[in-house]
Amino acid sequence: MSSRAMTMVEALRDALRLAMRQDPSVFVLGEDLGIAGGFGGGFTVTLGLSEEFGHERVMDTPISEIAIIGAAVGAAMTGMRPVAEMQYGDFVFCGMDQVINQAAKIQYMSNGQFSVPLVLRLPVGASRRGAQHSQCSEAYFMHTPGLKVVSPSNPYDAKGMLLASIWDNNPVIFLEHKLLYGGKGGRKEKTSLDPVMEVPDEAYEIPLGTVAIKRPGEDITILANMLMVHRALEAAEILSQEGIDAEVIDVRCLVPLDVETIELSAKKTTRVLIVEEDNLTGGWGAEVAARLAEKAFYYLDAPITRVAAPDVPVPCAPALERVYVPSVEKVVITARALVKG
Amino acid sequence: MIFEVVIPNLGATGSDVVIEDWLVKPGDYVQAGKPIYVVTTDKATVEVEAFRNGYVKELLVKPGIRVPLGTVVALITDSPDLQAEKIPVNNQIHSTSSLDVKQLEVPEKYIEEPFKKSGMRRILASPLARRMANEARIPLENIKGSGKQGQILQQDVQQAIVSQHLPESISPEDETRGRVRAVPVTGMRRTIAHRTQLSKSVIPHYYATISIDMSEAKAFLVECAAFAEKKGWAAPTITDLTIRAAALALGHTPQINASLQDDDILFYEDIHIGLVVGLPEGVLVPVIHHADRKNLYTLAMITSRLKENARRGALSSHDLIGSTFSISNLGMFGLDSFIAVINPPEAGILALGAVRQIPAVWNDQVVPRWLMTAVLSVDHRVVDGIVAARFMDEFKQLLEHPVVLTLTAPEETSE
Amino acid sequence: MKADHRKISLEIALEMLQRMVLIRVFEDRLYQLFLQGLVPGTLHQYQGQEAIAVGVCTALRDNDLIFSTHRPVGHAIAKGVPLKAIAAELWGKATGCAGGRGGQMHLVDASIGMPPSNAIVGANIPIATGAALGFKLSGLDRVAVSFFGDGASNSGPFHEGINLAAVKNAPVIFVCENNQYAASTHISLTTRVEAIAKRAKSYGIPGFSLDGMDVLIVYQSVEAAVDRARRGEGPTLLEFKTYRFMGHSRGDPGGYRTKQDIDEWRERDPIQGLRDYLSKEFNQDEQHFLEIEEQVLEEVEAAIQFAISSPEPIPEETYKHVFAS
Repeated sequence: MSSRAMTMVEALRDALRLAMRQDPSVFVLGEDLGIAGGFGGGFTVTLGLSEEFGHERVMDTPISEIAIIGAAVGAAMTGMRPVAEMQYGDFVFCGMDQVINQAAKIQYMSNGQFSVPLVLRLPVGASRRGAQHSQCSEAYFMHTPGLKVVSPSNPYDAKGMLLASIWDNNPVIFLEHKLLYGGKGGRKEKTSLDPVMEVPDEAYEIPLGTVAIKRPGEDITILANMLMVHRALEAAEILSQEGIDAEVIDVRCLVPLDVETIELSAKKTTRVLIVEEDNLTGGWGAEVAARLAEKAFYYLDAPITRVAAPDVPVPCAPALERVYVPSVEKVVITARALVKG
Repeated sequence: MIFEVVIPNLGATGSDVVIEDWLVKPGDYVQAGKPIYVVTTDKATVEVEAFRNGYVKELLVKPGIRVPLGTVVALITDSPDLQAEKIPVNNQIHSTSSLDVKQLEVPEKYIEEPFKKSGMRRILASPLARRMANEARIPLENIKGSGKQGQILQQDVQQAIVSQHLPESISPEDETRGRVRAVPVTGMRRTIAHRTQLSKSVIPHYYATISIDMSEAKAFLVECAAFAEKKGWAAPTITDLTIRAAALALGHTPQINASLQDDDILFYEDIHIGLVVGLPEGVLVPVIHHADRKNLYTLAMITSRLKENARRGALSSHDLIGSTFSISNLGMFGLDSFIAVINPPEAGILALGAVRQIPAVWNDQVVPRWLMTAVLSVDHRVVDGIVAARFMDEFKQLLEHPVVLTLTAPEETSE
Repeated sequence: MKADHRKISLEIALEMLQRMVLIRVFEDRLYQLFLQGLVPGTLHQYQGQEAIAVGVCTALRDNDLIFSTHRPVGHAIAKGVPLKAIAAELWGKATGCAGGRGGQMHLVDASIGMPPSNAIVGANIPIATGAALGFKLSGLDRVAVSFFGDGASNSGPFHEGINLAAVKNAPVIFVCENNQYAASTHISLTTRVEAIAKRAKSYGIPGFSLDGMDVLIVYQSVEAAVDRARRGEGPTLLEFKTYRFMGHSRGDPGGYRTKQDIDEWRERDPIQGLRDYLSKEFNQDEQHFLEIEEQVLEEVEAAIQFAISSPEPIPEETYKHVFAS
C-alpha cells in the first residue's frame, strides 16, 4: 500500500478526487471552486478538480449561501451526493434555514421517503481575520437532530472521514480548521501547524462515530478536537515531566458521539478536562460534560472542567486572539489543578 | 446651542464613577479649564473641569449616584436664556422631577439556609471518594480532605484505608535506619501502590494451592512449535496454555469470573483474562479479551503482541481495560511458587511458579516429572472454598491432558 | 396568453375537473369538521386556487418533482397522493403519507414525485433548483416545480434560488400563486411591481403573468415551460393571479378582506369556469357533473372515515428516521 506525505488540504483534495472518480453522483458546489486560474475554493482544497471533472461537477455559484445549501439539499434528494463549501464557515449562518429546517429535518418529516446525503464543508477557527471569519460552530449543529458533525485534527483522519461523510446517507457538517490546512505559498496561514503526515494513496474510510486516543494515560482524560488536540498533546508533554500522565482523546466526530470510549477513559483516570475553541456557554464541551456527569459520576475525583474560548465574539488583534483561543499554558495549569486537587 | 458635559475617561480601571459634588449650579457661568464637579473613581477622587465657556443649563445627575464613564451629567448653553428647549439626552440617568416612577417589585433574595441534612456538618468529597469510603466502611468524618476546598479525594480515602493498618509512619528525615533516599511515588509505581493497598485492605484474600504435572504439556508444546513453524505462526508457550486452561476452567466455575460491587455480585458473561507483564518500571496487565474463544495459536499471537507493546509502551486503552480474571507467571524467574494480589475489581488471580523437574510419584513409581505449583488467590466475599477447589482441579486436569485444550473452541474470533 | 382550446382533449379536461372538484369538496368538508373541533391539527386551505395545482400537475410526469408549501393539500391531490393517506396525515395517524410525522404542512409521497412540502416561506425555491440541477447532472429529462406565493417573492431564497437556476440553466419551473395576500398583508403593501413575473427579467429568464382561475391557461403555459426545461433551455417564472376563498389558516377570521372583494372573485370560480368550457366545447351536461360530484363525495367520506378509524403511531416511532442508515 503506497502512501505519501500530505497536508490536510492535499488529503481533502485527494478524498474529493477519489470520490468523484468513483461515483458520478458526487459533485462539489460553492464559490470560486473551479474557476480556471483561480483559487480552488476558500483554501485551495478544490484546486485542479475542475480540470479533471469539468465545470458542471465542480460548480461555481454566485454569493448565495441560501441557494448553495438549498441546491445541495435538492440535488441530494434526487440521489446525488453534493459536497458544498462555505468559503468561510461563518457564512453558513446566512443559509441556516436550509441547514436546520431543511437538510436536518427532511428525512424525518418525510418518514424516511427522502434522504439528504450531502456534505457541507466549513473552514473554521480563529486565524486573525476577526469575528465574522473565525467562529467554531460545532455546537449549533450538534444541537440539531438529523445532522452529523465531523471535525478532524490531522490529514489522515481528514481524508478518511471526508470519504466516509460523502458515502454517508445523511447531511454531514464537516469542519476544517484553517490553521491545520497546511496550505502552501500564498494561502499559508500565519502560526498554522502545517501538520504533514503519511497518508495512503488509495481510498479508505474512517467510520464516523469514533474518537481516537492520541495518547494513553492514567491520571487525567483530556478531550479536545481540531487545533485543540495539538494544544492538548503539547500540554500533556509538559505535564508528563511533572509526573502527570494525561490521556488525550481526539473527539474527531461529535455526532454520532462515541460516549462509551470517553466514559471508560473517564472512569479509568477519574478526572476529565475538555479543551475546545468554541465559546464556553453551550459549547460542545458542555454537552459532553453533562453526559459524562450522568454516566461516570461515581468514578470522578474532580469536577469535569472545560477550557474554552470566553463568551465573546472572536477578536482580531493577535494580542486579543491569544486570550481568546485556549493556550497550552492554560491547559497545563487547569490540568495540574485538577490532579492536585 | 446646548453642549453636553460627559464624564471623560479618568484613567480608572473600573468603568463606573460616583459624582461626589457639583461645584456649580444652573445659571452659573463657567469657564473652560475651571472645575465644575468632583468625581470618585476606583483609584482616586478628582475634579473635572469644563471644556468650554458657557452657562450651566441643567445638572442631570445627583451627587452620590454611580454612573458609567461617558454618561452625560450636565448641559451647558452658550446663551443665558434658560427657557431654551430641553434636548433629549441619550442615557438613562435623567432628572427625575417630572417622572413618577412606580417602585417595581423587587424579587426576594435567595436566602441560603444552613445545611440541614442528617443534622451533621457538611462534608465535601468527590463522588469517587464517597463511593470508596462507603465501600471501605470508613465514615467521611474520619477522613481529612486534601483538596483546595477541603474536599476529600480518592487519595485521602486510600490514605485513610492504609493508615488504619500502619502503626507508625516513617519520614525521610528519620535517620534511625541509616541514610535514606526519598523518591516520589509517581506514574505506574503510584498506581501499583494504590491498587495493591486497596486490594489488600478491602478484599478478604484466601488461597488454594495445587501441584500440576506439566510433562505432557511440555511434550505437547514441542509438537505445537513444529506445527507453528511450518505455518509461520507464533509458537504457543506455557503461558498461552495456562491462559487457555484458565479460560476454560472459568467456564466450568463461572462464580469466579465475577466481582463484588456494593450489594451485588456481578457475574461477567464474557471471559477476559489479564496477563501480568513485568517491566523495569513496574507491571502492566494487558487483557486478552474473550480468552475462551481463542485457539492456542491465536492466543500465542495475541500474547506476544501484547508483551511487545507493553515493553514499548504502545498498549492502547482497549488493551488495558476489561479483565475479569488475571494470571501472573513468575516461573521464568525460578520461583517454586508465590501468592499474587487480586487486581480489583476482579475476584481471583492465578499465580504460577516455575515448571521444574523434581521427583514425583507416577504409576506407583518415583520418577522425575515436570511439575508446576499454581496458587489461586480469591475474594472470599464472592468465592467459597469448594468453588476455588473445583476451579483448580479443572485447571490441573486440562493442563495434564493438553490435547483437550485444542478441542473446545466453538466460536473462533479473530483479533 | 390565451389557451389554445383545440389542443386540450375531453379526457384531460374531465380528469382536471375531477381533480379540482376533489380538492374543493375535500377542503370544504375539512372546514366543516374543523368548525366542529374534529380536526386535530392546523389547516391552510386551497379553495379558489385549484386551477393552479391541477393545471400544473396535469402537465407533469409522475417522476417530475413538485416542491410545495404550507398550503399543500391541493398540490398533493393534484399530483396523485392517495386521498386516504392525505386525510390520515391530517389526523396524525400512522397510516398518513408521512406516518403522522409531518402533519398538514409536510405532505409527502416519493412514489409520485412529491418531496415533503415546506413550511418555511420561500425555502423550497433553491431546493427545487438543486433537484433540477441533480437531474441535469445525471442526464435525466425530469423537471422540478417550485410552488410559492406572492409573499415568498420578497424572501431571500427567492432571489438566490431563481438566480442560481437561471445562471446554471436548471430545468425548473417557478410557479408563483399570487393570491394577493401574504397572511393578512395585501401585496400592494409589500411589493412595488404589480406583476411578480416582471422580476424574471432581472434574472434573465422568461416570466409570464397569467390568469390563475383558468385551468386551461395554467395547463398550457406550464406545458410550454416544461418543454422548454426538458429541452435544456432553462427555467421559467410563471405567475398565476388567483384568490384564496378561505382565510390564511384555521381560525383566520379574515377581517382584512371585504365581502365584496371575496364575492367578486367567487364569480370567477375556476371549477365553474371549467364546467362552462366543458358544456360549451364538449356538450357535457349537468348530469355528468353531478355524477362526478357524487363520486367525489363518496371518496372524500371514505378517506375521512379511514383517517378517523386509523391507529395512531406508536411512541417508539418518535425515534425513527432521524438518520438514514
